Amino acid sequence: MANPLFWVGGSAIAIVMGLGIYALVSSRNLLKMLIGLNILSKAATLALAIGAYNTNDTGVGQSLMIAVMMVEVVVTAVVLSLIVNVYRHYGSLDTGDLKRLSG
Amino acid sequence: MGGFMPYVWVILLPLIGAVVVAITGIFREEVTGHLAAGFGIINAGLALSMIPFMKTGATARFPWLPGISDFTVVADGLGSFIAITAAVLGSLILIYSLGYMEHEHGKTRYYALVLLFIGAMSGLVLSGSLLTLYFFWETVGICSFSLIGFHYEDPKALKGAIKAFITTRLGDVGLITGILVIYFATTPHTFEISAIMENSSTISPAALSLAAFAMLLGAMGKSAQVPLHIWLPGAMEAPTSVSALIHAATMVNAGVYLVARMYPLFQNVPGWTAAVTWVGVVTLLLAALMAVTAKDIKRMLAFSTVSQLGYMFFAVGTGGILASQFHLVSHAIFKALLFLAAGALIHEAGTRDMDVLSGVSSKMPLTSAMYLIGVMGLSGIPLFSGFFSKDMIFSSALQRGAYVPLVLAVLGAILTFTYSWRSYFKVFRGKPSEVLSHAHEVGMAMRIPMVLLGIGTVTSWLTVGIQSEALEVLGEGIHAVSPLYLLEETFSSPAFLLSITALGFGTLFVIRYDQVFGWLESRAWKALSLVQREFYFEDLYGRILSLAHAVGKGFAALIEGAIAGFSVLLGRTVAFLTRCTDAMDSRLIEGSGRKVGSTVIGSAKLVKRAQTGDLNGNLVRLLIGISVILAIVLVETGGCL
Repeated sequence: MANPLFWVGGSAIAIVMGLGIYALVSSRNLLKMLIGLNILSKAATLALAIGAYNTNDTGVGQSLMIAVMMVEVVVTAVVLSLIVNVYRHYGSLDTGDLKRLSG
Repeated sequence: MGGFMPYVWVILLPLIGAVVVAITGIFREEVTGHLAAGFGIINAGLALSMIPFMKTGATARFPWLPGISDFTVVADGLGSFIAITAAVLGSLILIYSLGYMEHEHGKTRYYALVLLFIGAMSGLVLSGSLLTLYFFWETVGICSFSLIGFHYEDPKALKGAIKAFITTRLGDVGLITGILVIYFATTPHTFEISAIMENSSTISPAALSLAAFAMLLGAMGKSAQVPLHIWLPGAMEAPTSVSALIHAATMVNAGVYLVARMYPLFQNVPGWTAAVTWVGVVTLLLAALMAVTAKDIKRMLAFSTVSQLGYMFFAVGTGGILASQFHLVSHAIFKALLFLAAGALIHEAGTRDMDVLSGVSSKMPLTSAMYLIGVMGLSGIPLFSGFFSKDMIFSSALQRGAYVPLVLAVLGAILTFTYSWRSYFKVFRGKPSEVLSHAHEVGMAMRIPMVLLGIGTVTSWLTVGIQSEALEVLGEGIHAVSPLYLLEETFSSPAFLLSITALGFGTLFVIRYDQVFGWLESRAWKALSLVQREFYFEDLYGRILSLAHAVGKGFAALIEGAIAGFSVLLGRTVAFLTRCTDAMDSRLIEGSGRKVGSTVIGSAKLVKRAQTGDLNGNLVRLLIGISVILAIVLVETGGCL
């Protein structure tokens, strides 16, 4: 716990995560929300890297990071295709227009 | 065992022949007759080669139904003689059929059935097991049924066939009952006749008497004894050659054979021998009376057969096994001859009515002479076989002291003399009637068997030596008799007087027939019409059957009513139940359905407000939720992840 990198890394994670969450919550454009989601997952990757460094178990860290990146890419691709479909269907990417599920 | 076994082949060969004939008939119907006759002649030769085996009672055994019954062939004196008779007469009748059936349709059927019959008859009398005996018993029954109904376009033939079938079936129920009772009453259980005789002491008296009387019923059915005789006159619708073979010479003897075969077992059953005697006596007398008044020549011969079978029963009942078997063989020969001669006559004249026929002898001298020889045999003219056999029956009854039945039997003999001679004088003597205008003597195929049988009628008593020797081994007080001894015995015994009395009175009746008949018509027409209506047996059975029909109909109506009532009840119950479920449906199921629906809709209205449709808002709430959970976890774990 006395490791200085823990604090530096921890704050970096917090900042990136905060940026990601802010982008997700504040933007009304689906593409921007996707970018926010990607930033959020970068925070997760960063957390893994720092955790691995901290515990001197870089092998597990590296492999987990690669896995997360893979998942991230796949999720991005699927979400992008969904976004394209939403645009074709509604002619808009504004979340305010996507209210069909409203009760 | 092993080696030459004619007693097996005599069963197998005709059965094989029947199949061969049936198959050949598909391709060439015209050769079936000669083929069948060939089989018949070889079979007759085989049968005659059985004679040396008879004395020892040769046995052949083949595994059949394991644990139940083997297929045993026993060639002892009792069975062999009937088998030989069936085979030899069968071959003669097959030859006769070549002429008689020449212009008939369905020859294949005819010859195949006759061969099947010959094989089955030999099987019946040579069976060592009651089970196989029953099997062959039914087989000859089927042949008889099919051949009576040979002219199946003729409703009369069909009626006769069905009557024969049903009546004999009634007897067969008795036979199978008897066989099964014996099987289960004997320890160890067996169908083997010799084994049953050995273990006869293990059969309880009650079972034995049940079996004895049940088997007597079976024998009465097959041998047309009163009151089950009615099928035999109806059986005369068969071709005459069949009547000669099956309904006169062989099959009807099966019943006599059965009682003679079972005699050692049943003779001590109280009342059994008396029952056999009286069945025989009543039959011989009633049938002879009916024969006197019969107008149809074949019907008369049928009643005569019934009557002569009655003599055989009478003989067995009085313990005269040899006499019964001796009479059986001589009767088979002369009755077959009578039938063949009558058949030749019917073939030419085209009618069987004795009122129409007369003066045949001038047109058909040989047939007429043969009929005359047959009549002499039947009526018991001295030195003809029928005389010796009937005399032997009388003397065995005398020995037993059965005087009352004996008197009736002599009365029967007088009547026998009357009807046989009357038929001869009426049909063959006098002026030729018109129906005979195109008649001429029959062909060779029909002549040869008649002549051979004619010779047999005169000489068959000479075989008494062989027959008595073969029967001697069976015991029952039978001693070997030589023909010479028979002559001496016959003419010196008191029974001879009875035979002569019968002859005398018979002659008187024949000469004075018209006067006697006229007297009866004026003084005792009731009794006469009773005889002419054949003692109302047919009417009685008709009544019984129609009563049974009525009862059955009533029963059917009852059941129908019950079913109808039940249906109505069932319908009402169903309707009621339907109404109940209907109510249940509307109140319970539909009602509850509605309730569930409204509840779901109500709650849905309540919940749907949570669905904002605002993605960003939802995300915020999601994050708040995650934060709360994280906070809780952190607090719980003391800040250590």
